[in-house]
Amino acid sequence: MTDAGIGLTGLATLIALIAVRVPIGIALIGVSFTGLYVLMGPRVAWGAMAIVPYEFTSSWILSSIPMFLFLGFVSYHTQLTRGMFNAARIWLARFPGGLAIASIFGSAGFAAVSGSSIACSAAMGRIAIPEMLKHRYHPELATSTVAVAGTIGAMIPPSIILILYGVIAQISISQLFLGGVVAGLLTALGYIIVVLVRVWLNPDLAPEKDESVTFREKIMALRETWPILLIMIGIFGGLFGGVFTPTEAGAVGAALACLVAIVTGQMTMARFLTAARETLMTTAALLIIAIGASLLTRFLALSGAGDLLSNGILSIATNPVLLMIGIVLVYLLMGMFLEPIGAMLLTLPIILPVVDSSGWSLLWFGVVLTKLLEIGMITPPIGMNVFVIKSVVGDLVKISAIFRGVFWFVVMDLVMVAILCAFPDLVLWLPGLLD
Amino acid sequence: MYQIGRSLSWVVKAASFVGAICVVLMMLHVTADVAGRYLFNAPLPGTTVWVANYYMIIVVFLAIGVAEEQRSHISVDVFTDLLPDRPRNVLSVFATLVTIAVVTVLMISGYTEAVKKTAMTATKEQGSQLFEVWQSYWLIPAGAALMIAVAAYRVIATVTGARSGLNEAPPEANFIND
Amino acid sequence: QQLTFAGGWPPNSAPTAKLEEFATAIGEYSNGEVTAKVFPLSLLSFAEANAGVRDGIADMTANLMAYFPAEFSHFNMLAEFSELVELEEFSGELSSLAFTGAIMEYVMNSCPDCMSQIAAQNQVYLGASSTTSYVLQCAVPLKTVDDLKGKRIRAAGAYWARWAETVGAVPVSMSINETLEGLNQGVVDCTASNTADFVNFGFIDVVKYLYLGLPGAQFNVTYTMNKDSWNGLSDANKQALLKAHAKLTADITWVYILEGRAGKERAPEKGIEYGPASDELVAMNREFVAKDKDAIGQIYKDRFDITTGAEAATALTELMTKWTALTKDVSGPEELQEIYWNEIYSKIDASTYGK
Ligand code: NA
Ligand code: NA
Repeated sequence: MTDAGIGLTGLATLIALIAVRVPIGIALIGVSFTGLYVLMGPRVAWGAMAIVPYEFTSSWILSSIPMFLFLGFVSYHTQLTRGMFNAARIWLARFPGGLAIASIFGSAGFAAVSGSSIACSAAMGRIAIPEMLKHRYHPELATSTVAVAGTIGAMIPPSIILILYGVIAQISISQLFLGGVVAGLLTALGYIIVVLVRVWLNPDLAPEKDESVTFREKIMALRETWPILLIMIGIFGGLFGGVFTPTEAGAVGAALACLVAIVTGQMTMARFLTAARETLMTTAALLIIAIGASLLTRFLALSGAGDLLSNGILSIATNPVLLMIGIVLVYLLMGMFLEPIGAMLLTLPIILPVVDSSGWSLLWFGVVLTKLLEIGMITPPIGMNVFVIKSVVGDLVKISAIFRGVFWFVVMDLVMVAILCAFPDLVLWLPGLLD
Repeated sequence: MYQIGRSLSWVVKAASFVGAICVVLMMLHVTADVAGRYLFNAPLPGTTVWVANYYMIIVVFLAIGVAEEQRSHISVDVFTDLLPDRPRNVLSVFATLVTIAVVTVLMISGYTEAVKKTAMTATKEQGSQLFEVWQSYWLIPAGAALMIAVAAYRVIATVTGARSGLNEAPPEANFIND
Repeated sequence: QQLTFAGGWPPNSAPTAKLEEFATAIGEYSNGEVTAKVFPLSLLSFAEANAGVRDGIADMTANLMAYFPAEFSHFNMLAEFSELVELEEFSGELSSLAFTGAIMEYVMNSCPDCMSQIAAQNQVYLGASSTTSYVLQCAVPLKTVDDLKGKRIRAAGAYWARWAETVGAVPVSMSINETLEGLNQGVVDCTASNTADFVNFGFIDVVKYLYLGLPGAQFNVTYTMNKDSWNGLSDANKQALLKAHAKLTADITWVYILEGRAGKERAPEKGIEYGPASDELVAMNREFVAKDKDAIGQIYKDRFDITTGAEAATALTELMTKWTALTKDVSGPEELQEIYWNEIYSKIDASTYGK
């Protein structure tokens, strides 16, 4: 067998192992080790296993991942995020579908303190869905809106996906964060348009409006938003005011969230420890995949299979539009089954060289990639955000109904991807401005 | 058998507690460094070494066994869920055996590297100071051993049908994991 | 035979281009018997390079020994003596050419401890390149010694941190990838970086002042090869590899100088004040170097029980005199390669070296 043949066989084995439910990280590590063994002999295989897991993990920059996760978990468990939704709910009470729009606003607010998409839909699902069902919103609209709004969590900074992408593509994480802001806000806007249009076409989806809100109530509601606003201002003010670096922002933000939760009286030892334990498990589950992907990169490089695939893609997709369509299709397909970070780490070793040689901006691509990966969170058959919502609503709503409700939002997401591709400056102007 | 499971579960719990403490320490250490630098022009020496070589290694490698007990390692079950119970259980045992094999490789390679680093008294430099880091290399074989023990216990319990002493239901909000 | 070179520089960088030329040269010098393939970053990062070549994941690498204080204490002590280049008799734009020559000659001929340290890592030392001198690149102006007090300065290693502490500044450890943002947002006031990184890491876009002459010293990049791979080669092919390394050491050292020049040319249009630091600061720095030269030996004695510090300082000072004379008029990398070959590599006995 040729070296590249060994590489491709390795990839095929990898897919088979993942399909029979071997954890993704374990499959990646196992295939890379075996592949290196066959290709280069025992010394290299054992050597790579001795070096890469430690060196990859002992990274100062990656330490922002547990810290941003901790920030999100603390905010969620101590209910710092509830006020944001309440305020949006009261201010939007007169609008058709106001509660659904409020949940999108709430998610965008939570996104500013949470690094991940699932945390965002879980938090907002528990707060917003009962409220919508109480006001006789159609369950399909209520659940799907919160499921998709969760994806804003990974677009608006902080974002675990963008941090990992930045580390691997070797580009500035704070620049990536700035690129994600506009794409995240556009995503929120797109979802609001979908809600408005759907409610306009079919007013039964969101029948009840609350006309009784007074100005006083509106002002009072704003006062509840201070915890999240304070944390947001603390993080972004500190970042751009020269107090700390993006890596340090997660730790300082988490400390700030703990302080705020103590002040609001919501912090208990049990909540604090739960948040820390969840951070721990999530970090381990994520990084073991990242370690595996890092090992796979070496294997693909040494076997030449990576070059083969990258060159293959480049030779098939002869113009940029075709190439982008191909990339979109690949990620939609992978997004159906795979978890986004796994999918990203799995594919970057092959896709990044392609992007690089196409002359595209790596920053722009990182943001578009995040958008594409997040679509996978809401598409069947595996749509993690949908599953999260399902676990919140229990037997009230069928999973197929939530997926059905998600459909029009996905169409909007694809329109958004097309817009971001047609106008890369939407992503690039904010990072350019503050450079 | 059940008693073994309970003790294993206790070790996992201890690892999880140490890991959670390290998450908190990481937060406090970095925040103190930032505050010291910004307010008093006095950053804490060695912060990046501590964070990268100790907290990160503990948070990841001590926790892989915890994640194994609570089935938090990310996997794709869309295809196996289509299967009837029996073949699905067979595949589940197979997947756990693969896990054990792979993590054993990680444990052995981690051990050999730890021996080398210990012999070397490996250090890292930050600023004008040196910090010993060789101890942290031992956390990889230790964490891997815990993960292997949990996975092996699960296989044996599944195959023999014994009552599992592991604490498999994760605490609230396991689905938030992403 | 096919050899692999794992480089830690990014794929499109100037050093990586030089690595490609080096790979081609190996083929030429060995009449096609040995070929080399370069993996920029995809195979081993700088942090992994030492253990990676030790275990044979790649055959050759650019080994940043400063990352491994215990493993390479002897090499790191010698590299710290690069501060000598700031002394009046050695300073100048081309001082890195001289220091590269001096440290290679010393390591290969007069440092048996270095040879046993590299052998303990299962590798063979095949040369080094020195970056250009480290200079202060600042967002704020510095005129006097007092101006340095309390300034937060990003320090890349022990020498620069020690320097910052001594002059009353605050050394800040920060990864090179964060430094641009750190400078831009004011987390640090200055970075101590070489004049090539001024361009490569984009500091040129955010700093307002660049002060030549302090804190000084240079970073040493070492080229090493897996010992078994080396000894698997015929003597003739070892000879070819030595010849190719004369080219590599010259090319990379020169590339840093070219990048430094490019930064100097672009600085005025960016409104950057680029020039020598004030006389007061330069004088203070030379005083620091003169004292620190003796301190280095003591530090490495306390930490690693190395007793050859004073002797190495004297030897390297003498070698710097010789090499400054040899390289002060060099006008290009070919000429430099020739000098390194004649003075160093041609004198190595390929049949016994690294056995
Ligand atoms: Na976010
Ligand atoms: Na999906």
